[in-house]
Amino acid sequence: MEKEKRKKKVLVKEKVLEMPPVMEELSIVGKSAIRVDAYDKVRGKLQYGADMDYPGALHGKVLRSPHAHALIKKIDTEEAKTVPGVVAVLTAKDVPGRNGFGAIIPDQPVICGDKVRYIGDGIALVAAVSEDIAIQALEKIEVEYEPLPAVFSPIEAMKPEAPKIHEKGNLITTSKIRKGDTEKGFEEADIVLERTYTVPILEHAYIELDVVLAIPHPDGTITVKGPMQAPFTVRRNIAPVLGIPINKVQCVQTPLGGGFGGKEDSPIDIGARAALLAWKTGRPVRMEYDREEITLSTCKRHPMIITCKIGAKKDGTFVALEGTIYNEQGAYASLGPVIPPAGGVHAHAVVMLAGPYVIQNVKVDGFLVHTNHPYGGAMRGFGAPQVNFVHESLIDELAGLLKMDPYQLRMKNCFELGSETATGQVLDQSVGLKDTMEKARSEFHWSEKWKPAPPVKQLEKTDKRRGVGMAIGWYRTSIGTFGDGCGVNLHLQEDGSVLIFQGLTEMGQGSYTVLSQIAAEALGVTLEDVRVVTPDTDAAPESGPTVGSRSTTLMGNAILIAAEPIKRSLIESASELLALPPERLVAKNRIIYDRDDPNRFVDLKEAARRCMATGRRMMGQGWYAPPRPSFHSETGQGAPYFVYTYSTQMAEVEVDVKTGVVDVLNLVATFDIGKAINPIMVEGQIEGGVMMGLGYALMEEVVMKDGMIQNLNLQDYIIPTALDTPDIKPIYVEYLNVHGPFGAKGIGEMPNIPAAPAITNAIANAVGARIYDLPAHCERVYMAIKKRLAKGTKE
Amino acid sequence: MAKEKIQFEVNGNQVFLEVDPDELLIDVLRDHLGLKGAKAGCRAGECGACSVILNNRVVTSCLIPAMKADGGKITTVEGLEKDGQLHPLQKTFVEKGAIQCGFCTPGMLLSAKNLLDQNPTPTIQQIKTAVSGVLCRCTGYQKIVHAIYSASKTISGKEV
Amino acid sequence: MRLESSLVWPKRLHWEKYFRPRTIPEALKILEEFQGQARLLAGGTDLIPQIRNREAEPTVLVDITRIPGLGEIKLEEGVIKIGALVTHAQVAESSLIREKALALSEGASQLGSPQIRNLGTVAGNVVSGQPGADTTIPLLALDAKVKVMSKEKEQTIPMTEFFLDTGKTRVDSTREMVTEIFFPALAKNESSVSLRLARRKSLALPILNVSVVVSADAKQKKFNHVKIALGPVAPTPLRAREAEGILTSSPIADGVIKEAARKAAQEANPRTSLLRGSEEYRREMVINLVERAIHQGLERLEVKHG
Repeated sequence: MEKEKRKKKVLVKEKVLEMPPVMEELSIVGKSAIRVDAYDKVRGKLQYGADMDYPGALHGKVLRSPHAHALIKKIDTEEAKTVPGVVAVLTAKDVPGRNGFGAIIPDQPVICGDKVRYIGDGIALVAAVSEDIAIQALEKIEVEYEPLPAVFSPIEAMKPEAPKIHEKGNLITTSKIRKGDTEKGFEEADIVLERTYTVPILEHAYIELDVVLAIPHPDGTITVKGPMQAPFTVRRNIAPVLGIPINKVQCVQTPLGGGFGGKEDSPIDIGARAALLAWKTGRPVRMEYDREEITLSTCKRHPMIITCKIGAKKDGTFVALEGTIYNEQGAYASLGPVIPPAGGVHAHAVVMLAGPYVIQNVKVDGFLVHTNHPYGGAMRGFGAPQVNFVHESLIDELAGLLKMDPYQLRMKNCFELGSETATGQVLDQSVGLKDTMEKARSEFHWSEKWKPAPPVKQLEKTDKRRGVGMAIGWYRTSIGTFGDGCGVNLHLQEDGSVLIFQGLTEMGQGSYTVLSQIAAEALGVTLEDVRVVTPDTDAAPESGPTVGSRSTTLMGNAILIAAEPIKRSLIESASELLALPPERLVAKNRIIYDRDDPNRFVDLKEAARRCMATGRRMMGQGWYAPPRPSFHSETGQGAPYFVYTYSTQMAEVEVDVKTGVVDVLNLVATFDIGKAINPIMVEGQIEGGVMMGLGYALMEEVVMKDGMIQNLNLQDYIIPTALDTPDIKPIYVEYLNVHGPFGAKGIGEMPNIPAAPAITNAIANAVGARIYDLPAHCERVYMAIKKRLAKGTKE
Repeated sequence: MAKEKIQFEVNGNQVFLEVDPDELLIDVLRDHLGLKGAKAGCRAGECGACSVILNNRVVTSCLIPAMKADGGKITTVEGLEKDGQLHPLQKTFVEKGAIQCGFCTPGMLLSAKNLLDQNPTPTIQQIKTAVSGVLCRCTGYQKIVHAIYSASKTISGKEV
Repeated sequence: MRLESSLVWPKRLHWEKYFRPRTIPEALKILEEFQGQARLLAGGTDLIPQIRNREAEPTVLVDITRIPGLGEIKLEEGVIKIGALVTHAQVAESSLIREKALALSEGASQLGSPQIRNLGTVAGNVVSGQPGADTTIPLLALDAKVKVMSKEKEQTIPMTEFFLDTGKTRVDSTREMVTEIFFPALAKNESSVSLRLARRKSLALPILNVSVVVSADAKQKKFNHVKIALGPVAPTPLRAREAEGILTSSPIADGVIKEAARKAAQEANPRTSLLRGSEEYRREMVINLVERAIHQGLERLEVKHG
């Protein structure tokens, strides 16, 4: 039965591909193994970045602009330099190399020289023997600003008279999708619905503060150590700032206390600044951002204003979709701009707006625009949560107008194997969306629970109303650009233990464990035998960033490639030891045995020792890049990402009609993840991601006023607590990914994508009033209900 | 600044220290005693990552001057294990997948221990309340709550 | 200059001296000696963050947690007395308070988090002068009084006269100390309710706290009196006297409860706040929550009467 399930059919242009059947039972892949760092974490022994003691290190601090947009007329650091214990005070002129950093475009000054572009922009750096002294120095720096008019909305910023934030102007990118003929499509539609939605700025709120230690070495190299999702990106940014080649910068990752995309970008900032101070002083420099500083200055989730119009036949078939996205990039580029062909938050949002639905005619225009607000970077979902909220709310409302069960409307139009997407990509394998819908429906008892929203009269009678809602979504695996490769070096030791040298990071999602499981399975050792060496750009091959739900799939594949020559050596050695032909030998759980007679075996250790003794190769190198993406910028047509994960989420809520407070009672979240390498960890990602989506739906927003964040700390920027948790039921199905290790595809980001609209659709179902602007906090819900009650029987 | 002499019991050991009058308990634990389990996530009492048990109450150590704790009894996460044996809470956290990045784990464990010390058979709602002072961004809390529930059964002798 | 406006947040905090007096006179003597530069420390859940934000810059801390006799909850001759060092957790766990002042128990159980409740004191919460403080509002409804000592004298100040402005009370924290808060335990024909509205279920500042004390006759046909306290709806916590007046000796009916709730909303003066909500919403919440609290108070009376 197991073998049957694993023979999945794949459609590629009339040619049916089959996954080669797996001959043996898997021993560690597919098991809920205990994560490799669990014991250290639970004992409080794991060393995070801030736990590193480095006596004698200087402390670095950044002086930050209080203006959202201003010229720097004068900056006087003379008095600051005289504070005893201050070792360096740096301004823009002190940057030896490129005074700019950025994950895609290095447009953010390490130290602002001529102007500042958002409140929090860095205008001077101080290194001192203690943090207190560094702060004293900061307070003695005199700066003369000439404030400039600032712009805080992307639509305003696109106008010709808007103040120019960067020389090139405020409009960074326009991205398009042009498929079919939407004008004709809307003419043929029986019903057309258009709505405008807004989604706010969000903060990652990883609990571990950003911290870094920069250590300059006498040989002209520098080590930068700290929590970072992308050590290679940090490295390639620091080198030009210091004016040295990349191979003289070493970036070492410390275990992250959460990243969520934020630590793809923030370590570049804190790393470049600490490295610069270390370079100039010749001494180690430690820098740690405070909670408020992190909220103030580091990257955020892009807020967007999105207008979306959908046309359908009266039987529910979608015929056309049009959308306009105003994507507010903020002061600097970070991870917003398009990295050809389809990388970057903006391209991704544009691609994802039409949702996992078959629609013949699609027209999308996306504008990525600078403003003087904190800037958007990567945050779990990378543009998808924003647009998913839009299409799932729109389609849900459409279902109401068509008087259709929203489940049926989605089922009628959603992707299946062979469907063509809005970019003209034919989904030729691994499409489990409909299965996730059916499983959710069954587990959630959707048919029993769902009924149309109540009439106004009923609403007036009750204090608490329950409702159910659903949303579906899709999410790419990996980043959709040409540079999307990753490498690994795998080394077998003569005692059967294994080292993995790779550069993808552990931020809680379990990458070390999953990659170790894959390596263990491939080599025939146990999980305990494998150690992932701390990602270190001096020791690991280029691996790309730990983002885009790519780690398991891409690095897993690289590990399988790397394992092959090692496995060959082991089998050859075992074959000699056992005097059996190699084809009959299987390596599993530390032994190598005869497939036909398992009693004939040798310890894997013995085979490893023999490899060493006979000079056989015990190391392997793997490089994996996914199938090349394509995406034509004028039409938005192509295959931007090589495989997708799918999800259906259904939520039940209770709304307090008198206050607008929403209780999420339970939530079923189903996923097609290709293959669960570690089931309990998959559940963990699901539950955690769903809660992040719940935060998006109900409570999270960075509140701005005149360019200043009003809620800098964790009391005012609110994320869900344990008391806000519903019962979450995580479920997955496995539609094997031909391009994935053991059939796997990504899971990290998918969970927090449909969660928010599932909840807001449930609110709409409970009270018959819709929220078009996130978060649906109690006031918004209450006011929506109030508006509906005021309309009364006029509905 | 003249240093002050204080002492307290940490994880069963008497500790004698000289501190500045303005040092906070979190920094004394981390920097003087090398007990890095208590983490600074906000320094404002808002995230719970710095939680320790002081005189049988779980509190945020970032809000407590070290001198205030003089003469007190403190348990940090490092004090949960005894003679190399993990506390049942630590075991269930490991087994039930209740740990992801691990940054909130010490705060969660100590909040849970404080609860179970006072109420050995809590309900799920009581468990959620007990850990409602520690923010977790990774796990969504569900596995943490289940791990605590499971440990409570073990400790109170009622196997699940 | 407030630290935030220069956009720097320190890790280390600074004060020069830390005293741990063993008696109240000793504490007061230290306060006087340092002439405005000293502050009392009990729970520290307000003071320490204020020092970090440079809202307060004392050079001396006077830790009063060693003074014996201040950490008790007592019932004496029908009066409940809460010592200055009683924490929110103690109040939340007290069966006495649950039985005889349920609104206070609810208020103390809902604020902050377990960690904050273990540290923070009721007295400190009241002295913070925040108009929506979670124990202030029920204490205001319970007609509590505050005992304040200075070197010269001891006064008893009714809560209704205690608050001057946001963050400002009759207590000069650099010279005076709250020693006790007391109020009459609820009578058999009185019930109490505290309701809290916030954007998440823990670690959240309140959008609105409402506490009521409801007294009605045994046959449930008439109110004797209703006390209504709420905040933050003004610079200081509010007793909605006019609303209370509507209900005094009134027959019990949905209509009159609604009318009182509406009156309370008129007496309130909330302003639009970016984090707490618009004036319109906050005012309507006064109506809805006062109404709900009174109804719940009546239900609790029914339970009490059996």
